[in-house]
Amino acid sequence: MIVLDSSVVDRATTDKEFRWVLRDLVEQGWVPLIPTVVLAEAATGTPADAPLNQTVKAIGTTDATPVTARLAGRLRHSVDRSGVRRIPGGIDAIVAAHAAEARAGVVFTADPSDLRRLLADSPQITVTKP
Amino acid sequence: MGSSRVILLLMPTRKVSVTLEADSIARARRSAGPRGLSSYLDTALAEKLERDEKRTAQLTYLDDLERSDPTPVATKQRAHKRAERIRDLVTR
Repeated sequence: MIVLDSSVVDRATTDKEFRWVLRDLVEQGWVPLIPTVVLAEAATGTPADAPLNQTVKAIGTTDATPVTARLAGRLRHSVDRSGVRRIPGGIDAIVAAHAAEARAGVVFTADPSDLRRLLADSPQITVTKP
Repeated sequence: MGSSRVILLLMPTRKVSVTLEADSIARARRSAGPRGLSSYLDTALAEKLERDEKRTAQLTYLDDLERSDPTPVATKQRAHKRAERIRDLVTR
């Protein structure tokens, strides 16, 4: 599974190297996923959304089910219990939950720190910049 | 719950004969429980189709982009190495 965070969805259109990383993974059977909730952070409602809109039009978005949302809550709570100062936000937690449900794959994000904390117990998921 | 049941009842269905591995059938029956094997396989098939359709859509989109905005060979090579590293990290 390839999960795209809000900060990288547009780069699936604009960044040539990232496009080919995605192509390579998809050709090997990995499935791209854009959590619907990331649009809340990625969209601006301006013409600058064009690359974002093109990517979303091509592969669609995936809604969080109640099961996904509850998993997101558990992941956030786990980080909270670990004693860090800053608890990841709900959108990051839902992105992480989509990845955790898939059990294996990659999350692309411009800011890996929070997602790595959320997915600390999912060794078969790697979190990386595009 | 009620609405999904209505949708299922209205969906056209067709009986088909397929050959599956015996072990997979036994595991599917155990997992399916009271839902029944047909419902279980129908859900699994729908999920597989959705995944395949997403992959095809992504590749088609990337092909379209490439036609209008080609990528240099060196960039493709770097991307391939990155993808390999990611696969290694996930499958190790």
